[in-house]
Amino acid sequence: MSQTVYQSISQNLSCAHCEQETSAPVFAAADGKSETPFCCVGCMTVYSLLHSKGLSSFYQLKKETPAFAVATAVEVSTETYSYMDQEEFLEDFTDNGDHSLSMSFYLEGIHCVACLWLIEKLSEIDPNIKFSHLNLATSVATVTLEKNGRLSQVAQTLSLLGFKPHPLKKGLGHEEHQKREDRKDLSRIGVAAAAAMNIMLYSISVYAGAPESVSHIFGVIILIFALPVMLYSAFPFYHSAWSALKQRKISLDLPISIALIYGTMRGFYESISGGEEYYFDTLTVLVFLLLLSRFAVKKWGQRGLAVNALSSFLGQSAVSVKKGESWHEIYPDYLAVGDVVKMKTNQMLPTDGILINDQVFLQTALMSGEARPKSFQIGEQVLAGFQNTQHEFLYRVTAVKEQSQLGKIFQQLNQSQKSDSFYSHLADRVASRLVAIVLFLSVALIVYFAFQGNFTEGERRAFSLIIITCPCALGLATPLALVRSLGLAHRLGIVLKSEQLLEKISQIKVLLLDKTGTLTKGKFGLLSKNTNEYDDITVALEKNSQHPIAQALVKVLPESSLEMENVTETLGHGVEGEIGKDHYFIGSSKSQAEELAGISISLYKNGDEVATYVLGDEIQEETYRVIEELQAHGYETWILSGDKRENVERLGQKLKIPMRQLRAELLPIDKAIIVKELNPAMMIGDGANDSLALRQASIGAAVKGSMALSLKSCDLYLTKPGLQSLWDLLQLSKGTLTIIKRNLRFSLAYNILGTSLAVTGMIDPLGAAILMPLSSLTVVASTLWGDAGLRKLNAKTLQGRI
Amino acid sequence: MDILVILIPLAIFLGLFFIAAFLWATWKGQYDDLDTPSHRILFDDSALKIKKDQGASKHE
Repeated sequence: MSQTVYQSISQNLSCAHCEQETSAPVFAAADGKSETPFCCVGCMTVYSLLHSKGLSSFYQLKKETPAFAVATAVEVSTETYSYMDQEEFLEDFTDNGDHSLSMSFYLEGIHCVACLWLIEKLSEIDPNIKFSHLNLATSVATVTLEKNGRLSQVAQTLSLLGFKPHPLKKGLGHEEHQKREDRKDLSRIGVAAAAAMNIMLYSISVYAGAPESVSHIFGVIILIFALPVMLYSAFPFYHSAWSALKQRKISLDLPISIALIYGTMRGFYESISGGEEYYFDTLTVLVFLLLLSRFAVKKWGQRGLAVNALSSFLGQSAVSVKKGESWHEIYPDYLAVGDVVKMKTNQMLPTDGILINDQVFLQTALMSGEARPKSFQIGEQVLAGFQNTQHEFLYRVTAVKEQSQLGKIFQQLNQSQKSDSFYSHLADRVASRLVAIVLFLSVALIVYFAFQGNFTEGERRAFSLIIITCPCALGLATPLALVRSLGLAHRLGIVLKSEQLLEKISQIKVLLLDKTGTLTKGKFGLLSKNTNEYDDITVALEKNSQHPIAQALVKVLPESSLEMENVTETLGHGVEGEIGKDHYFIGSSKSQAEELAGISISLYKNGDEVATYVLGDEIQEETYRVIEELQAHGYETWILSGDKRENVERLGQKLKIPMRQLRAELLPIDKAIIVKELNPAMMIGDGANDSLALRQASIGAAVKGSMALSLKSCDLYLTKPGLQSLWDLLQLSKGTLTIIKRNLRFSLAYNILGTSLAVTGMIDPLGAAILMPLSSLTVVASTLWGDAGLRKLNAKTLQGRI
Repeated sequence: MDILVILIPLAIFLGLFFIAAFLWATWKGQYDDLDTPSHRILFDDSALKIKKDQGASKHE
């Protein structure tokens, strides 16, 4: 059977490695079958490598386990990663043991459990590798090598297997520090949980009426278990209450701390003197629940962040630098002024410099906000953050790191402070009032009973009051609602750097949007065409040109096998050629395009216009709908762009945004100034030119495709393209606040009930022990029930999964 | 009720033992990565066996 026949009878085979359907398979003899289909040479290489190493169970595993992400075809990489063997690199990136060398990579292309299996079998493929470990949640692999092993070899193996390795610097993102904090938190939670449960055991016996002699011993045992909780586990509450006090603020942790400290002292006294009112059972459970819910809130936040911080490094890949007469690969961090650098296609410039080639087109959107690639001539300055859209070119480095334009923005960013004075925690406001009332009431009780000559009764009631109003439910009201919403946000593809944002966002009515990349797709694409008939001729002509417009057309139109004759390109004008007797020319149209920032290109056959293509920056599909809905709900939407005035105004008209709310031709610092005037506001943007504004805004949101710089300066990150996530986020925040308020109301109601019982002296320890957890339970139920908006969002994420 | 004299110290000892075990595990890094091990455990024995056999033959 010949290959061509096979192809024609079975269209769309799926690749044996990545399982993607392919219409043009490559066949190879593998796995005992003479013709196994692959989508590309890359996948084929991986497949045969795995089989030759006896690791074919990879495919078995892959079949049996669910995937996390869509598998992609393996790109054939020619990178040698030789820069990884350079000494300066080794120093910054690797951990040196006595007999080993270890290093972490962020791996692109991890999508299922089979990948995990494969990565941890690396030692089978490369004998220099001692062992390798993968963290599936973050896609970080840590590889440990023999002392004389070469990292470039490891990187090559990884890329051969279809994973793109990105080296991670030592101590990136304060990992060690974070790990220690997590372990401390876990220890506190564990101690609190174990102690609380043991205490419960003895408390129940006491409540159930154990004989005097036994209950006395139990009292001492309870105290033994309670002390570590009160002194060790509950320490964060004391600490945060104290630091708030030092700033003359009353936080929710203050009433909690007062109740805990007072409860401990009182319990200590009771245990020693043989009394029965310990309250340690509820207090320890409270500490456990509070710590647990706060830990969960923190973890949800970090989870998204970790993945993000790492993937923001993807733009950085090795560059070739000229040393003497030969080219060396080098990591961008080690470039020096004066180096001559070769940029490959799609690479982002790591430094500022002067162009050596005659003409190149660079995508400058991230720095300037303009979607259309700009042309640069020899000797012109190019900036870090520009992206190469076409063939290789050379430039000479003139400024690195802090000296580059990007670096300067970065420095300003680090100096500017985040203002959030407009906002204060809802629960803290309630708490400060509560503290005042409770303290006042307790003092009043003591004074009142002291005048009556019954000091101990007054003190007993004051104590019950403080314990009962201890804001168990109040403390849980906010974190519980936040944990639920953070989980939901995670599933919706929204990463929040701080859980308080959900509360903050609900107080915001002004939305400032960047144009390119946020409202639009930020890429130069085909907006419309009037006919399909001449597509093949257009492609045949345009594939001879390096112009970004030509390349954009070739990318979107179907491939063509037509051959043109006598092709000539006139720079800045167009391309012409002949097929048989017909003469074709493609170039800018005589009629102007109506479309947004559009450029019309027409194909002329023997001088007559036969097809017109309009190219430009496409508006994201849901932009119209979301903007309309936002305005209907009373949000004020602004556009802040670095792009030309007419482009911004045209877009503003389309989206029905009033003229006064459109700002164009802004420099990064201009954006930040406008944002400052409009605060409290939320800024949504993606580029480096947005980063100052993102930092300045009350809330800065970066959208998908953002630069590392804007990721660093933002408060939250929308990982799905388009504005739908922004709408979801606003809904989520609204729903969360509804729940927090409802929870607070519930717990306040319980507190008032408890207070009146305590003041009148109508409550006994058992009653208090029942009342307190009951209030917490109500809050939990209320949180789980959610509200209409949240339930709708939840349903949406569940649908997406099925 | 005399049995309490043994049972209660035993219960306390057990409680303390498990707290100590938990702290030990935490600081040994058992809870540092909660995602990956839950998948790693799912690998079939057969898949592992192939590897083990090969590993053994390599050492010979």
